[in-house]
Amino acid sequence: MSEDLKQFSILRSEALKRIDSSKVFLVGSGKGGVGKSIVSSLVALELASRGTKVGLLDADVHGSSVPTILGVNKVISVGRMGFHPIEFESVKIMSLGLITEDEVVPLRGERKSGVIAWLLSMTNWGDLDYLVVDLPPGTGDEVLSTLRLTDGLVRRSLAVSTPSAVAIRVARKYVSLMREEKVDVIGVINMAYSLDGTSSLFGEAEDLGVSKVFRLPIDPGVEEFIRGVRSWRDLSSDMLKGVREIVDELISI
Amino acid sequence: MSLHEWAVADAIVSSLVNFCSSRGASRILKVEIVYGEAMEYNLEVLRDAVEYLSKGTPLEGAEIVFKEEKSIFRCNACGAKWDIAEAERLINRALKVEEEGEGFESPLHFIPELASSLMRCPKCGSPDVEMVEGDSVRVSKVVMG
Repeated sequence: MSEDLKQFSILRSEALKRIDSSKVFLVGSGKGGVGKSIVSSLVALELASRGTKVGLLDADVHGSSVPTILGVNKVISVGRMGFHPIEFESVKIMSLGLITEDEVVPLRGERKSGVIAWLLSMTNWGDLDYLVVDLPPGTGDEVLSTLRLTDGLVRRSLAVSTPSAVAIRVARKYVSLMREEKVDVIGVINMAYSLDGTSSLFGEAEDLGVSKVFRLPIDPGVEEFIRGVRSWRDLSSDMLKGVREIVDELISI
Repeated sequence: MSLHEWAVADAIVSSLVNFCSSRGASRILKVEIVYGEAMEYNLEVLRDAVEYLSKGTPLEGAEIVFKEEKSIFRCNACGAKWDIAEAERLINRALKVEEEGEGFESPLHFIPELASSLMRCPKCGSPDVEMVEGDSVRVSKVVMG
């Protein structure tokens, strides 16, 4: 019999081989701008600070933010086993943004799937305990491709939203997709309350449709962290406590 | 020595071994591997790597044919098409990936989907361009025993 193998299948085999020992945490949302990349980065940093081996894949092809958040701008290099991820506080980072920097990346659906497949399968992750994937908002190509590329691995997802009814309602669609894909989802309501406890920016969050929800505060220190003038370890105690609780829950599987 | 070809060869061999196993076949008799010219693979290195990594797998001893496909680029705005020579002339972005011992290489060597980040249409200047042929690596034929 004669058959064929498309590029995506070839890269999927390699991706699964390279991260087969890793648990995968998919960080998604409905809307953009809700703090997904911040949550991904802080979760990865917290995991690494506990002595685990962590990879962080930025799967947001058009809106890559992880390099900016972590302040990494090194040139990606390649060896015999593929791309060398950039390390930041022991987190191994791979992002298209490290290659394209500020250039616009106009890509249609299938091409985006190809980019994610190359990034995941050709990165020399080494042995990972956890791979955190920062997904773009919504339920499009990059999200579906990441699901296919990690099929069969132990996976959980974080659905990130602000308390805004608009963000919550769209985030529910992401939650539904993950459920249909048999991926357990926990919720994160970012920017849920002010640090002095006096106000909530949007009022109480509506039901995200998940059993466990964690709340993170509006912490001005986050922007200082992004601008490189504050360490993530010096964020507010509320923020750090929230991130620790999220990680405790994630690794309980 | 081109290094990236080893990682690509590893992916090809892994996928073929999985494919063979999923079909319940014991060995592969022949494969045809097709890749786009824009990926600029060093064929000698790719062939050696695939053969080396096949040892001890159902792919060992198979006839392995490599075919390089012409890469064609297209503008989705005006329909213009151009070839790799024109594409190389058009590349006006400094996107670079460093291959150890090889210096800097075009990202098309590693992620061919990035054509649109590297060039604009030579006819109308649109950024909505893509590689429409010779844009991937695939196995076009697998014959199992």
